[in-house]
Amino acid sequence: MIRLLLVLSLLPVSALARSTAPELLCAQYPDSPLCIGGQAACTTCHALSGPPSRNPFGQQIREQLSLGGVFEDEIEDALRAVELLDADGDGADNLAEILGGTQPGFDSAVEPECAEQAVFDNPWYSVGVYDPVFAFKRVTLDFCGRSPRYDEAKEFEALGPQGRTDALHAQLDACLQSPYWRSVLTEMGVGVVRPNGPATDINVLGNWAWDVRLFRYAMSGDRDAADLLRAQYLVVEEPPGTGRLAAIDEPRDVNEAYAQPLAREDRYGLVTTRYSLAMNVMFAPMPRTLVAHVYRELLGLDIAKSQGLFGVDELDGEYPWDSPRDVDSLGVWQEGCAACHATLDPMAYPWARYNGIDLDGDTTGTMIPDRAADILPEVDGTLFGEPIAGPAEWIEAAVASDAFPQRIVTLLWERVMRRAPYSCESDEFEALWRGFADDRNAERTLHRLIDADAYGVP
Amino acid sequence: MRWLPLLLLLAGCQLLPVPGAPTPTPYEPPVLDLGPPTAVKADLRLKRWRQVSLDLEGALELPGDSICNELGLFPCTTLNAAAIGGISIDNGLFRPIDDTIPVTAGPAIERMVLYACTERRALDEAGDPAVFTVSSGESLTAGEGEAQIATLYQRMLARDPLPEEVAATLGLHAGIVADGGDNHDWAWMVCFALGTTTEALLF
Repeated sequence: MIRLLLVLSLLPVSALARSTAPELLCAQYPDSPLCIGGQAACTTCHALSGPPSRNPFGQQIREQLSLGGVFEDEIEDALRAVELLDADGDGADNLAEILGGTQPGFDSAVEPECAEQAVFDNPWYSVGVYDPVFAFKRVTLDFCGRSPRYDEAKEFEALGPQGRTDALHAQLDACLQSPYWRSVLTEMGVGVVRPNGPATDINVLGNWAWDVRLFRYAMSGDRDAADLLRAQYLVVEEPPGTGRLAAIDEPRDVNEAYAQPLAREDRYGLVTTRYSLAMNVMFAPMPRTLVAHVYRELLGLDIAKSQGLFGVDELDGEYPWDSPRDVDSLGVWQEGCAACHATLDPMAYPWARYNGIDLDGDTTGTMIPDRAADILPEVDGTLFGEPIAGPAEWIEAAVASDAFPQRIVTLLWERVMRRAPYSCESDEFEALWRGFADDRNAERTLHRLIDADAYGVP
Repeated sequence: MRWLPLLLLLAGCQLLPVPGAPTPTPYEPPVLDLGPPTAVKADLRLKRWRQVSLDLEGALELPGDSICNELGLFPCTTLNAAAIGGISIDNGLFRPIDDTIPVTAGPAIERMVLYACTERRALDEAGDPAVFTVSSGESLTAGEGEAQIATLYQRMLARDPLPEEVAATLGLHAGIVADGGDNHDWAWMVCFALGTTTEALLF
C-alpha cells in the first residue's frame, strides 16, 4: 500500500484549482442559487482557505476523475456520479444542496433564515410577512441614520396601505439626500478605492478624495452608475465644505490640474484617476494590478480567488494549458501562473499606455502614447475572453456585462443588509441586479430593494 | 461614583450586598407573553456608531459633539468608530466589520449613552428641562413618574411604554431613593437603561 502511495505521489497530477470548474458546474446546474453570478464560488469544491485544498464534496468529485484525464471532459460524469452522495454528512444529498443553494461540501443545512417562518403574536411587527412599519423603521435607520421619532412613527402607522407605501418611498427619497447617506456613500467609496496617503491635491501619488467623490456622484441622484467606469468628467465639492458635488469637464486651477493631469478624452472613471494609476500601475510596464483591482472592486471578480477566469491561449497550443504571451518575460506562461495570467494579462494590455510613477519626469498618472510599446506594439487584449481593441472597448464590455450590475447591487445590498443574500433570496437578488442592468441607477435600485421581502419581512 | 453600583445593576452586573446598606426593592422583570419562540429569521443588526449617535442627538436634543468625549478631547463616536461599524482609513480598515461584534462595542455604546443622558440631565438641571421633567426631590407621584417614563420611552424607543414596563420602571425609584438618590438620579438611570436595551440598539 505504501509503495502504491509512493507511486501515485510521483504521477504528474496537478494539485491546482481548475479555472474552468466553477463555470462547468454552473453549466450543469444553471438554476442553482450557487450560480447567481454565473460561476460558483471556489469553496463549492475547495476548502474555505481556497484551492488547492478540497472540501469533502470536491474530494468526492476528485475520486471520480481519472489520473491524467482531461478535467473538462470528465467533470460532467463526475458531478452526476456524486449527486446522491452526502459529502458533508448533513443529511441532504449533494444534488439537493446544489439545487437548494447550500454548500454540499460543508455541514451547512439550509440557512435557518430560509426555513418556514413561524407566525406568532408579536406585539410590534407582523412576523413572517412584509411589514411596512418594520420597513419604515429600517429605511429611516439605513438611509437617514436615525430611528423614526415618536410622532413620525405614529403618523406612519395611521396611514392606509397605499399611504404607507407612498410614505415609505418618500422617506427613502428624503433620506437619500441626508448627510448620513452621504457619509455612507463615502464609506462605500472608500471600500472600493482603498485609500492610502494624504488626501491632498499636491500629493504626487494622487489625491484619493477625487475617486471617492466620483463614486458618490455616480451612485447618487438620477445618474448612470456606469460613470464609475466611463466618466470623463471630474467631480468636485461645490461650494467647498458643503458636501454637495458637481461635475466639471476640466480642472479649474493649477492644483486641480496637478491632481488630475489626464486629458479629458483619456479619462475612464475610477480606472484612470491619478491615484488609481499611481497606486495600481506604479512602475510596472504591464498594468496587471490596475485591471485586477478594477475587476475585483467594480466587477466583483477577484482573480486571486480564481473568480472570473476566462483564459485565452495566446501561444496557440504550445503548452497543454491556456497560456499568455508573457510579454514582459516573467515566466507567466507556466501552468501554475497561466491559470490566472491567461485571463489577467490580455485584460491588462489595453491599459499599457497609462503610466503609473514616472521617476524621471517626477510625476504620476499620465498617458504616454508609446509607453511599453517595445513589449506591446498594440494594445489589443481580451475581457471575459472576448477580443478588446483598447480602453474604450474594455470599458463598454465591462459596463455591458452581468458582472457590473451584480457587483454594484452586491455593494448596495451588503452595505444595507450587512450580509450576502440568503439562498432563499436569490430570486429577489437577481431581480435587483437585472433591474439595475436596465437603468444602472443606484437610487432606483434602493427603491426596489426596500420593497423586497428580504428587506421588509421581520 | 456612588451610582456606579446601580448603573452596573441596570447594566446586568451583580454586586455583593454591602453589610448595613438598605436593601433595594428587588426588580421583577415583566413577563411578556410573546408566544413560543419559534421565529427563525431574527435578522437583526446592531446600529452603527453614527446611528447610535444620531439617535441620541435626536432623542435627547443634543448637539453631536456633546454625545461623548474621551478625556474631554476625542469624540467617543469617532474614537470607537471601528468597534461600532465604522471604518478607519489610517488603519487600512476600508469596510465596516459586520461579521463579528468587537468586544469593545458594548462598552463604547454604553459610554455614549451614559454620557448623552448625563449631558441632557446637566442641561435640564441648568435651565428649562426638555427631557428630565420630573421634580428634583425624592418623592414621586405616580402621575409624575408615569409622565417621565412616557417621555423617555417616546424619545428613546419612539413608542409608549406598556403598563408592565411602567410598573417595572417605577419600581426602580424606591431602591434608588433608598440608596440616597433622588428623582433626577432615577430618571437619569432610566434614560441609560432604555438607551442600552436591545430594542434601542438593534433594528
